Amino acid sequence: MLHLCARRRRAVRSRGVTGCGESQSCLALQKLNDIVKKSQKAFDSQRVADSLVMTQSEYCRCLRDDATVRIPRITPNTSLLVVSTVLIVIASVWAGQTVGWLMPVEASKEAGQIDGLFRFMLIIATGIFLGVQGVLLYSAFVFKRAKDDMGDGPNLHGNLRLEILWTAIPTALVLYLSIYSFEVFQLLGAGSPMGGGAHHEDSGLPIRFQATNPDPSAPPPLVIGVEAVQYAWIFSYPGSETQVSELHLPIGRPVRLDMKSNDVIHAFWVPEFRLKQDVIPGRTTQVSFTPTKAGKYQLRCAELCGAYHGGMVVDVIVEDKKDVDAWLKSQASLGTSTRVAQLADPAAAYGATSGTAVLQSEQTRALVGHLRAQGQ
Amino acid sequence: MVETTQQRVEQRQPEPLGDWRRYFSFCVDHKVIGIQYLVTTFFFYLLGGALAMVIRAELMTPGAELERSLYNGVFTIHATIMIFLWIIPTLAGFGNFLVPLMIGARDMAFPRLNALSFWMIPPGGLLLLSSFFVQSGAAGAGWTSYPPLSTQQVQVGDLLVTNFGQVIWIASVVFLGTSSILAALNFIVTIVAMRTEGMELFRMPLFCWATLTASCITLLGTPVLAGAVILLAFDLLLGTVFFNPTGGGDPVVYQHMFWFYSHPAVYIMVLPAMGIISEVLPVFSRKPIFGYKAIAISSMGIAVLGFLVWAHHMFTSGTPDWLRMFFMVTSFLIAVPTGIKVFSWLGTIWGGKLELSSAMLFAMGFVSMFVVGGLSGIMLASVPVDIHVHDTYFVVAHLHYVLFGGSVFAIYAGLYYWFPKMTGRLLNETWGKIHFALTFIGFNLCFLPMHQLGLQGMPRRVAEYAEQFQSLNVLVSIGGFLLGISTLPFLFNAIYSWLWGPKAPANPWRALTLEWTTASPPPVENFEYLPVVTAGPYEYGTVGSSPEGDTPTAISQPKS
Repeated sequence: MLHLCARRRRAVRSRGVTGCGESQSCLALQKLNDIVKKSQKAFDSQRVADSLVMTQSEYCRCLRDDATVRIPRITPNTSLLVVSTVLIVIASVWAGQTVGWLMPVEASKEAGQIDGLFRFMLIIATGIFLGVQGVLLYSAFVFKRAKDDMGDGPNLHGNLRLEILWTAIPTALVLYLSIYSFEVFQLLGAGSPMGGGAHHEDSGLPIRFQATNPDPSAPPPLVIGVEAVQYAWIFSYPGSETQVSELHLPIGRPVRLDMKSNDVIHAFWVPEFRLKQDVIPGRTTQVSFTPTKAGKYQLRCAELCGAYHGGMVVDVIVEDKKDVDAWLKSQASLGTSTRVAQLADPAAAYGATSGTAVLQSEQTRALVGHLRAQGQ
Repeated sequence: MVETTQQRVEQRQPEPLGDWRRYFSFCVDHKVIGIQYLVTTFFFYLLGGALAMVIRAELMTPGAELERSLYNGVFTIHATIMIFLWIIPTLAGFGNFLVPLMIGARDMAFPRLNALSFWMIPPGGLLLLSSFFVQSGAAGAGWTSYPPLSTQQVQVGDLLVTNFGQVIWIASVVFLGTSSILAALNFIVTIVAMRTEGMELFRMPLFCWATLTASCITLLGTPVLAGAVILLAFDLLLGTVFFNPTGGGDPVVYQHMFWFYSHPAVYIMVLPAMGIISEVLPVFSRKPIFGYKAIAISSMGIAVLGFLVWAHHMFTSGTPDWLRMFFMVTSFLIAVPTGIKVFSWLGTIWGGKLELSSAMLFAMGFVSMFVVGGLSGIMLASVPVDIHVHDTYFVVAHLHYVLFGGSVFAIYAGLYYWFPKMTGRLLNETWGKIHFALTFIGFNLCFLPMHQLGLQGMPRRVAEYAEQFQSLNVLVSIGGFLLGISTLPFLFNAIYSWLWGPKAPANPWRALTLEWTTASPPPVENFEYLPVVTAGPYEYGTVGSSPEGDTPTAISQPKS
């Protein structure tokens, strides 16, 4: 306590406000000196401690009136600030390049846009992350108190300029992010303002405009019916009576999926396409995209749909149009039971032993039942 | 800071059960109730953690080892326990113990209601756990319990049975929600009406501000959740079709009602945690909180905005485009008041004299980890990115950074900070630091790789997954087990110190808020003399603000 008072007195003196005997801070200082003397004599006495408290609040008031005494400046070392800012910027931009190994391959036209947005946000986020962690670590080492130092830091209550700055910059940043996200969202096919991933069949709302950025030269979208059941996906192609349990898509042609469910909510998700849309009982939901990269991907159900939710996975194959047609023809010539037998059995594929038989039978049962109901 | 009146507080006769037994009774002392809350909820935290260990063991391999419906029950109950039986009530426990002390009141406004709201928790919790033993198994539709899955009949052997696990889940949530509403009401009245002389609203410790704000959210939001799950119960038991499309209902309506509560619920779980941080940082930095009013008001800003962002959980639920854009912008905007808080905390420690005690380490750990959750939250707010990562492990990572890296770190900071006040004993600092190190490493090892898992394509709530994800999942599981082990040093430390630790002085941290001006543990009526407040709660760096160890600023020690 005494140490603190002496330190404070020195601090006040060094700012040149002693001695005039007139300014409020000077009066406060004299009072402070008195307190110090008193407490040197009988510090333990509760009465003195009380008087210390009484005068202290007055002293605070005086301090507040006098800006020169109030706040010792704590400005960071300028060169350190510059160097660390540069390092953070470099690190953030580098982090933006890691999207390649954070994300799966981009297999649709939409994926590139979304990755661009994600990369931008990753850069900003890395910058903020490093800045905050930097301040925390720096403080932990530089401002760590000495073991016997029982004194306080400066009585600093805030800094209006700084506070305005760190309110305004994030606001501007998130508004920019809103605009950027909105633009990407429009490219994803958000057309009419009342549109959406879904519409009630009887609601009378306009069906959402499906094509990405209506381009007259683009071929019309291939519309595929999708039905999600616990725990399988059933696809019906236009011009074909056959329902299949695997999704084959031609490269470069826009696709629209009209999705329905009769039991619970499922969700269509192919990570390589970056698109997800819930399939909700009672309405038709849509998702539009253009596959651009040949390959074999997986469609994973992304909304918890029951015990075998994790197994509700089928292959999505992006290939040349003629291969798709040939595959469709071969499927049409197969009987229902053969097609059902072809159904991927995820549990077996993942090497599970105990649950395999159950899954096969349950999934098969669901699909066979469904196909029968469809009269096939 | 504090002066005393000459008005002596008449001390009540000590309760007939003056010893440990009062902790098992319908005691109306807010301090006893606070500790009842904290101990009970910590017990549920351990149970929820044990379920998390089961989940991580299951996910060590790509196949499904557990019975799949049991696995779904395990993660559903894990989340429900952690939210409704750990974070929300444990923060209410802190509020119960601290709010009256911090504002200079002698107890909560409604002591009996207070006891009632605590005593609803153990039966609510046991009810929830009992659902593992009913025929249909525990609720397995996730803590969100979306219909129609949650109202579907369950197959047991060859039989289809009503999902009684889900019914129990609903009953338990309504029970716990009611307890939380009662507690919130009590906090609001106490803070508005029972502040001591001189304790203006803007002189309240920030923890009180946070509790006040969170209580307002609870009061407005929780009834909507109750409404949603009660309608769900009607669908389940009475055959109504509120959410059943085959009868003309709409399952998405449930999602709106659910998230109208459950997004603000995140702030119920985070705001008081932030309040704890705002208490701990100034004390161990020996500096006033930076931007007191900005922090207090930004809490209110978060609360108001928090009610306007719920549909960001539904960006893939067939929400119309314009609605998605609206909720995207509001969700982005909520980053601003949150950012103000984080930067203000950094401003608080900057230039201070930091004492890196266990409480301070956890508080700094909170700032460090919460920022990660906040940043991934901004990414999730953006519709195009969310469409890719919604319902994946990216979201799991995000929510654990907010609720574990955020709330739980803050809860630990609070426990280390107020343990001496609550028990009159000091915790062991070395074990505290070991606890922090283990928690921090285990936490990051567990939840950081989940971001990549989600981006790469692993959905959440699955028992089996593609083989390409196994190596990361093993890493996550190792982190998870480490996190489980990290609880042991704390448990050992808390139990040992409570029984045999060194006696704590009234003010071991030289803090300036009112609770430290009275004895540890405080007497029945909290203060011997009624305190009068003359300045804000964080006047560090002014003369005389640095009380030496056992000499509280002005109030004499109760002699009793």
